Amino acid sequence: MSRELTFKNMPPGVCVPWEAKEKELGEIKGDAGLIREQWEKLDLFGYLYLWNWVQR
Amino acid sequence: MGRDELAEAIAGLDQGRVLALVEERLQGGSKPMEIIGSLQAGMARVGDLFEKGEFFLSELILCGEIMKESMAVLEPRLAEGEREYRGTVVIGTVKGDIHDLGKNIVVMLLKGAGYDVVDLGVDVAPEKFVETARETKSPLVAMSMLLTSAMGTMKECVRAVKESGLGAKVLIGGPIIDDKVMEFSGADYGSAIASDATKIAAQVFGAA
Amino acid sequence: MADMEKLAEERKKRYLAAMNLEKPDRVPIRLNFSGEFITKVSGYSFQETYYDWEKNVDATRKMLDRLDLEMVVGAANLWWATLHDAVGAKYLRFAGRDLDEETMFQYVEEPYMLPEDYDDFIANPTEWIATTYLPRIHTDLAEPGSYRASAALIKGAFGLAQQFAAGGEATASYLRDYGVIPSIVGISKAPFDTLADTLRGLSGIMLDLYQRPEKVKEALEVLVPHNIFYGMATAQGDTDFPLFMPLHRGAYPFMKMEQWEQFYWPTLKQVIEGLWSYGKRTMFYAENIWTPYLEKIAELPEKSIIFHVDQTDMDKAFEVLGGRFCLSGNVPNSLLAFGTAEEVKDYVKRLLDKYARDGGFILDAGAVILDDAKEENIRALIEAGIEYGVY
Ligand code: B12
Repeated sequence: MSRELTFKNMPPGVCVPWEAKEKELGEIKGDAGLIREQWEKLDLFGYLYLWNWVQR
Repeated sequence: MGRDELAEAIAGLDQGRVLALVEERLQGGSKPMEIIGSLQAGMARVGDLFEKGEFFLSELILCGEIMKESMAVLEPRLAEGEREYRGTVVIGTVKGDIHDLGKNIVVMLLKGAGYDVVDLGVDVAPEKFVETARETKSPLVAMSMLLTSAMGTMKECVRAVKESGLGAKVLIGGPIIDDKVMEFSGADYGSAIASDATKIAAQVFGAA
Repeated sequence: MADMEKLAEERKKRYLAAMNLEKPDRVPIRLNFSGEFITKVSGYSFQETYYDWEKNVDATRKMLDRLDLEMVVGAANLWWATLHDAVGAKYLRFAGRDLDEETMFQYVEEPYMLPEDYDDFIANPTEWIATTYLPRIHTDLAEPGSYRASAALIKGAFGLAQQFAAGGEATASYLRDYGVIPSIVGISKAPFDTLADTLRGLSGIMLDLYQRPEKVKEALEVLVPHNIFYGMATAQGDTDFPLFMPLHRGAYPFMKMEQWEQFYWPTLKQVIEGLWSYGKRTMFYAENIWTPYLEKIAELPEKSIIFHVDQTDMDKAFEVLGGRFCLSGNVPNSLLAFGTAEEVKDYVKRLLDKYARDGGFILDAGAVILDDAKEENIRALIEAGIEYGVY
C-alpha cells in the first residue's frame, strides 16, 4: 500500500539530498564544496515551496 | 424505569458496545425508532456533560461518529414514513463566515434530540434562510457565526427571516454572542452554548 | 531618511524591552490587522488586494498614511490569489472569483490527508507532500507529469519566489518610509495544528486520537524538527523579532486535559524550546481560551514566548505567567466593532493600569482585527496606549 520512497530519513530543509546528487555526478573536477553549497541553497527553496502548502 | 444500557454506552463513548447493542436489540425485535430513542437519550447526556465542562470537543466528535455509524445500520430498516421527528429546524453559518465546526455540533445535538435538521452549510445568504424556512415551514431558524465581521450580514439574515412574515423564531449562536450582540441582531434567542439549541427548540416546538 | 531610521530604532528598543520584561519608555502597541481591515482602510476592493500584489503592498502604505502605527505585519494579505489560481487550489475561494467582490476569502476544510496516508507521511513527509498531497489539493497537478501539471509547478514556484521577494522589499520600504518595524518575523505552528489545520481537519484528527493514537504521536514527532526549521527559515535567521505562532486547536475546550498533555503540548514545547535554542522567541498567539493550561505553559524557558491573551482569563494569566513572559492583548474585538471611542479608551486605561505597571506588556486586540473594527476605535486605542502607557 505504501508507495516506494525515493529518499528516507530526510532532514528538514532538504528536497533532494546532496549525497544522492553527488553520486550521480561522479567525479567532480573543480570545487565540490561550492557546487554543494549552491545546490543546497536552491534545494532549500524547493523544500520551503512544498511545506508552504502545509504550514498555513 | 430500568437502566438504558444503550444510552449509557453512548454517553460512555463505547463504540464497540453501542454497535453490538444496536445489533442485539434489532435481533431481539426492537423497533428501530425505539433504538433511536435510546441513542438520543445518550446523546442528550453527552450534550449536558459538554455544557458542564466535563466533556470536550474531541469527545463530542467521537460521539457524533458513533451516532452516524449506528444510524447507518438503523436508517435502512426504518419503513417509509416511520421516522418521527419533533419538528424541523433550519440552520446555517451566516454569509461571510465559513466556520462550521461549532454549527456541526449544534446540528448533531438537535438531530440527537429528535429534530429533522436542514443544514444549509456555510456562507448562507439571507434569502436562502428565508426560502428554506418557507419550504420546510420550520418555526425555528438557527444561525451560527464566529467572525465579528459577519455581524452585519447576520443582522441582515435575522431581519430577512423576521420580515418574511413566516413567523419563524430566530436563534443566533457562536462564541461572540453576548448582550450587545443580541441587542444589535434583533434575534429572538441567542447563546454561546451548543446544548442551549435543544432547550430553545423544546420551547419553540412546545409552544407551536 | 535618517529620522525614519531613528524612529524605527526607538520603536524596536521599546518592543524588545517589553519582550525582555523590562520597562520601556511606554507600552508598545502592536496591532494584528487582517488583510481585510487594511484593505478597507486603504480604499481598495478586496478583490484588488487579493489579486494584485502591488496593490496589496500599497494598501499597507495607505493605512500607514492614515494611522499612526509603530509596527506592521507586512503587506495587507498573506495570500496572493493568482498563485492559488495557477495551481488550482481547491481549498480557497476568493473575492471576485467565486465570491462577491467585497467578501473575505474562504477556506474549505476537508481531510485532505487520509488515515491511510500516515505511514508515508511519517516515513518522509516532504516526499509525501510532493507526490500525494499537492496533486490532491491542486487540480492543475492532478495528473503528475502532464503538461498542465508541469506548467502549474513552474508557475507555483515562480509565483511564490516573486511573492517572497516582494514581501521582503515591502517590509523594508515600510521601515524606510514610515519608521515602522515588523511585529513578527517568521512563522511556524504547533505540530498538532500542522496536522489538524491543513491535513486531517478537525473531525479527522479528533477521531484519530481514539482510533490511531500511536500514528498521531509518530506524525507529531516527525513534525518537530520540520516546524523548528520552517520557523527559522521563514525568519531568515532573524532573532530580534518574535516568530508568529497562531495556536488553533489547543484552546479550551478542544481536548480534555489528558489528551492535551499527550498530544498537543509535548511537541509544541519542543518546537518553542528548539526555536529558543537559536535565540528565536515565539509569539504564543493563544486564540480563544487557554486558562486551564497556564501552569503548563509556565514550564517554558523564561522570556522564550510572548503570551498573547484573547479570551484567556487575564487575571490568571497575569498571576501565573506575569514576570516570566511578556503578556499581550486583549482589547475585545467586539468592542472595536461595536463600542464607542470612549469605551475603547476606558478599556485600555483599565487594562494598562492593572497589568502593564511593571513592564513586560504589549497592547493589542484580543483576536485578529477584521474589517468590522471602526477606524475611529483603532485611533482611540492608539491614543489611549500613548497616553496611559507611559512609564
Ligand atoms: C478552526 C478555526 C478556523 C478554521 C475553520 C474551520 C471550519 N471548518 O470551521 C479555518 C482555518 C478555516 C479558519 C479560518 C478563518 N478564521 Co478562524 N478560527 C478557528 C478557531 C481556531 C477555532 C474555531 C472553532 O472551530 N472552535 C470550536 C467550535 C466547536 O467552537 P465554536 O465555533 O465557538 O462553537 C461553539 C459555541 O460557539 C456554540 N455555537 C456555535 N454555533 C452555534 C450556533 C447556535 C445556534 C448555538 C446555540 C450555539 C452555537 O456551540 C459550539 C460548541 O460549544 C478560532 C479560534 C479559537 N480557538 O476559537 C479562529 C477564529 C474564529 N478565526 C478567526 C479568523 C480571523 C479567521 C480568518 C479570517 C483567518 C484570518 N484571516 O486570520 C478565516 C475566516 C475565513 C472566513 N471567511 O470565515 C478569528 C476571528 C476573529 C474575529 N475578529 O472575529 C478567530 C477567533 C481566531 C483569532 N483569535 O483571531 N478558522
